[in-house]
Amino acid sequence: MTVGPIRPSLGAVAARFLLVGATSFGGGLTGHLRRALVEDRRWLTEDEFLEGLSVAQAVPGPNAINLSIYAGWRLRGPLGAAVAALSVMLVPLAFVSAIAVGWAGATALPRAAGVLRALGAFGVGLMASSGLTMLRSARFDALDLALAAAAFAAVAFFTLPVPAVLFGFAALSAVRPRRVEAR
Amino acid sequence: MSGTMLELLRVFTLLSLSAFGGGNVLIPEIQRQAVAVHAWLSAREFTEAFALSRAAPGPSTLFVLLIGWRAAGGPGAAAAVLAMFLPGAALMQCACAALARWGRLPLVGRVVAAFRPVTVGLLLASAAVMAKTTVVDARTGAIALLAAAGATFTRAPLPALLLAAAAAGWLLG
Repeated sequence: MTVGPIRPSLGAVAARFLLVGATSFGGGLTGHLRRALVEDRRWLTEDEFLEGLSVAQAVPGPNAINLSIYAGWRLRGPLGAAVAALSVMLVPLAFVSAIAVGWAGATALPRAAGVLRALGAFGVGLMASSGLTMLRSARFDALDLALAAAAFAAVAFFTLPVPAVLFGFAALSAVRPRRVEAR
Repeated sequence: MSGTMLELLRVFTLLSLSAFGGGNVLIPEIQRQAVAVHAWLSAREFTEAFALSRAAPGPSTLFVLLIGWRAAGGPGAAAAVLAMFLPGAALMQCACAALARWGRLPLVGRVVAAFRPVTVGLLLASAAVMAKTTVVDARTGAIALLAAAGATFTRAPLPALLLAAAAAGWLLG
């Protein structure tokens, strides 16, 4: 990975990640990042985003934060990575801190439950959309698709541990036969 | 520094360093450590903290702030968050630096490429796992479908789509 040709200012990086962090209600932060970085701004290509998410999963820690670090790195180097991660965390941190302080009274809002359910469903839809779009744009061959489907089923249906599935199927994917040497 | 603070730092640092594949895989172990092993909060409080934290934006693992808060107030909250996020972030910085230096080597390219199909499969699996607890009836199913369609086929800004979903949730109760 190199710092890419697109170099938005550190301020622009901070503003973008701040907005993504502040609006990522209901989960699905990875989907929000994909939309903001690949589609709204062409700061990362689909390939770069998929590489970033792959590295983010292989390194321990929350995926979306690791992914923010990757994206910040590509845009502005190590400092950009730190700025991206701090910016995406800032508003969520303030929010959860406020929840901590107001914990006792927070459950008393009757309509809030309906809004939360809707936001959770929104997060699911967004993540599904991101995954399917990535699946389409990744130029996978039949074996890749089979590996993706197997990893999906192993976690979604058979509830196998995610780290075992991640490294097990990645090892299979590394030794699979390839007609043309990739890159 | 008190024993509780040290324990918070130790437990969440170890959890952070074992979160391969993302933070969601940790939640059962966080519950075991916080409720059964250290009794920082009760099982009911744990469930309540997790549910409340979903009202906030950002990564779901941020709810460890509430556990630290219950265990040791403001300093406990800060310790839990720092221990949960800093070690992984430092490793990711190292991984990015390593990629910048060695990313063009064919072997590194092959290793990263090997993760690509698994990464997409796991992203879709996390949507499916989230769906098990959030898509519970026709309304939430419709909202999830509309969100997926809106995000896939329109250029509408996500915050606008999100507000529409929130409004639907408010009106439908």
